[in-house]
Amino acid sequence: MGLIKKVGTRAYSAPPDTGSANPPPAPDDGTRTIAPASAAPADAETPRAAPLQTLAAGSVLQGRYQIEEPIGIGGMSVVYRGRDLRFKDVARYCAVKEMSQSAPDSHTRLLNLKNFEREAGLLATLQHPAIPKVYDFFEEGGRVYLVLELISGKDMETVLEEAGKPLDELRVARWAVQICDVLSYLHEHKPETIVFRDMKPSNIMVLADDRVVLIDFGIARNLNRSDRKGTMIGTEGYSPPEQYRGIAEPAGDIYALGATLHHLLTNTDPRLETPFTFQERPVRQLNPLVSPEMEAVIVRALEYDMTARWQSAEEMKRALLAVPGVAGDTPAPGPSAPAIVRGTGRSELIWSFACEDEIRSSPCLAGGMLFIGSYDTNLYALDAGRGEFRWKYATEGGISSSPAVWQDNVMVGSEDGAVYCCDIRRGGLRWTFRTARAVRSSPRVEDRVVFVGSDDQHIYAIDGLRGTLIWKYRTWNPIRSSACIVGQTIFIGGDDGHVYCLDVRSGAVKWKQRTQQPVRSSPAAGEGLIYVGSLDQNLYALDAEGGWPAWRFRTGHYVNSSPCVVGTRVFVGGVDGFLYALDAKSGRLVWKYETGSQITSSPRVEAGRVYFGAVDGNVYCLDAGQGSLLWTYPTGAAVVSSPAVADGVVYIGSMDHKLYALKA
Amino acid sequence: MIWYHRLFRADDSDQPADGPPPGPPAGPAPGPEAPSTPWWDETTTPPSAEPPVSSEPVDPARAPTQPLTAPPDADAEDLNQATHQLSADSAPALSARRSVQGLAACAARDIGRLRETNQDSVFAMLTSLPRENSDMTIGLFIVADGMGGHQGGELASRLAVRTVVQHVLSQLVLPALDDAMTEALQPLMIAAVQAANEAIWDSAQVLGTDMGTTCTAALLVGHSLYIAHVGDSRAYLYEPGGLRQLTADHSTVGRLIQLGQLDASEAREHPLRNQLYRTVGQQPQVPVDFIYQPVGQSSHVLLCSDGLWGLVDEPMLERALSNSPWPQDACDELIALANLAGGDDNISAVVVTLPLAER
Repeated sequence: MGLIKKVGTRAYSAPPDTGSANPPPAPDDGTRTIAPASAAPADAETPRAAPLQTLAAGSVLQGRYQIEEPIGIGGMSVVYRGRDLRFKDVARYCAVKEMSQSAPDSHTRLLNLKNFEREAGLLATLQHPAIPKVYDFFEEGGRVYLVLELISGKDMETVLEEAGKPLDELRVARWAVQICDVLSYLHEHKPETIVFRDMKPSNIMVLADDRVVLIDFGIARNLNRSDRKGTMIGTEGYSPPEQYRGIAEPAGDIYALGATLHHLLTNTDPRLETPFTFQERPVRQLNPLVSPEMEAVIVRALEYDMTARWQSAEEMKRALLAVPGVAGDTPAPGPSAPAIVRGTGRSELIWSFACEDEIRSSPCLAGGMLFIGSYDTNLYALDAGRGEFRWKYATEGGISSSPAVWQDNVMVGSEDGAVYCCDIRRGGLRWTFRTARAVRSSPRVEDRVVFVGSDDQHIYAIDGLRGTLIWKYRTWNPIRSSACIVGQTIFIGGDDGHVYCLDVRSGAVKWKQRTQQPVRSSPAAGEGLIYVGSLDQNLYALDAEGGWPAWRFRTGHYVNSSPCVVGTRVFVGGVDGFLYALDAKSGRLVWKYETGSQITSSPRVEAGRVYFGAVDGNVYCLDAGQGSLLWTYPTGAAVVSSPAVADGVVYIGSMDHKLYALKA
Repeated sequence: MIWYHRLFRADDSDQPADGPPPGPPAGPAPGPEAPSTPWWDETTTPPSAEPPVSSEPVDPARAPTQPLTAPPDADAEDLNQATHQLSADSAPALSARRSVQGLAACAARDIGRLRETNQDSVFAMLTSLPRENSDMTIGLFIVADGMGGHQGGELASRLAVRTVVQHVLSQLVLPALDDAMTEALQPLMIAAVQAANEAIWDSAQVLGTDMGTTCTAALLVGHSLYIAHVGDSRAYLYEPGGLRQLTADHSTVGRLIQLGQLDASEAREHPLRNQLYRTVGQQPQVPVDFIYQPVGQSSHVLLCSDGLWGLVDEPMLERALSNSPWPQDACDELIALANLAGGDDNISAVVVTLPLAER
């Protein structure tokens, strides 16, 4: 290594306006092939890109091989299309590979020459339809030449580029079977195993009849098993991990074939991705058209551990032939067979309880009792186990606020503008606190203090024992969000589009952060971040101390639903019909599930499952890890209530006037 | 506000935890169970609370944990009453706290013992931004390790620092001073490094050279770090349990170590150890890693180039950081250690000491 970091060894697509400023390829760049199709412009490009003077068209080598044009430039060689003049009456073409000697030091030059001679000697001993034939080998003018069968076709990289999208699975699978055949031939070569070592799309030619031929044996070599520490040769992105320890075994070709298949079926170039991340980028996630069987073949080929891969090319070939549609001539029954059967499970009803009007409020569980408000103006108390009625308290307005329990008090806001506090056992009124407008925000209690917002534009702190005011904070629009209490601060959203951070003791504002639309979602706290949705369609993660957004995630519609933070994930529903699971720190989408109907209900996560309701009247239960549907339960009307979950039971209200207890 | 403090004090401040409150009730009769721990009498820090930043006044809520001259039990009630009145936002803090370490930062770089040029660039800035009635502490720390001949490396790393600083000043600092900051910090930091990528790529095209740089840029907002990262410079957090690397090296060798396919000793001698698969300025676009990390109870943030971490192992880094409460001392010691170990590359370090009341 020199003093300068080696950089830029990856291939990148040059910008369209590459002028003379286009940097030459790095000396150790992998083989780059100029597609024969673009031979005309290649003439102009070649002299600059090639480190050595290329032969002029028309030059004749050995009095026999007439050079027509360069068709490929690799790290150590140039390949020309040539014509064999010995066949006078027919145009017999061949590939003339010229060893390039651009390396500055004699040691490297010698090494390159040895590689070249080795390739020639190796190829001359091989007989396989997928390996080009060697015709001749000679030195002339201080350079070394190899004359090969001219393979007329396109390399797979070009095929993929021209397609511009993932290639057809069966076509790729049939190529892969042929590649496995030639790998078996190489790996079982006697007396010594041959490892190809540079399997990648640009080293595989596809002929007109879809046969494949391996090209560029520049680095394939007889494997001497005592030579464990070699230098790394291969192409970053396709090479197996052990190759970086100087180990070249047949299992490395299996890996590189897996990497090649991954590239062809997903159209994501591994040279442009973080190395060794195939397992994090599953084929079917990038291209759902690929069959699970094919994906499994590739996954096993790409195992880091050599012993966990297919143990031979032959074994991998058998697995490929078992992929539906590959072995037979009849194409697979394509899209008629759905890959995944969606979960169609249904939950069991434990009990339901009917109110006299819609339920928009969310249930609150405490001490074996369940509390919920209804638009029929009542606050209901039920037995959580059997759903039996215990008591109700009638307010003077509908209830859309959700009750909160503190000690033996249950509190709820009403459209009549008051917050009511009742004794949880009998429902006797303890106190009321009147605001000037409807209370749709839900009370939140911490250490005797009740925090609640009102449509009268204030955020209130109320003494939970007496219902007296501690402080109030004035905003410029109704408050429908509910407070999130963290230590000495509360966080709450406002219809004025702000998220407020207030001191719990004084109501002094620590910060307020503006979003573009009203904030009706209730904040949730994670490690150092506060999550909240806005009608500006974003889910925000705000820095808890400074209030500035750390990230925001844009959905397709309003976010009324309140986020739920569990571990490293945050879950939220969208009016766009999706339930989203995001990485809590980065806001990266982990999965989303489409219900096809608005979600304003807030998800609850319990024991690895996400529960929520949707406007289509269903209660949903998803697997929190993958977002797959576990069950649904249909109610008679929209479900905007948010579930409470305890002891294997999900409690949730519906606009059909009923409160449901479902098996979780 | 005074009336409710008085109300609470008169009624509840010294009542037994489970007895009915004495004095005239101000509303309907309270329930049979009184609160066990009224919040105004709180004497312990809630677990979720963050440690204080020295640039802010000490949180009055926690003042009672610091005894004044009075013995803790003799005058506890008086002390509590005193702090009740002080708990309003504007009250001065009562604190006997003496920090052993405060928020400070230092950036330093050294040419090392073998190189003829210093291709690293470093940057450190501490400032504050107004937020309603108080201020937030903000820090910006950058290490960039340039590469490319003909002064390309120096140019690339300097351009990276310049572009990131300009981006953060124009997209965060100035808007925050105008109270109009709506940009999210994560995309802001990522965009800052992407802007650096574009600036370097563009000037490489003009100059006809190939140059690039690593770039690890950490924004400290209160007690949270927002880090944008490309390359093999590193950000470490010195947690109570030891030094933790927050960033992942974008080198193939680094990735193999992550996967357990290569061990550290093999990596040190690996011919490709310096080969990066991602750099700033060598492609038209670059994906940028982002890391959000609350600092919690950590004592230091360290950013450094491979000229430091490649030569000095983690226990040595920890020791150098712990040796002095001053970031300048730590920077000097870290650079000296790397030079003692050979100094075969440029060495840069940004050391940030975080506020600590006691160790």
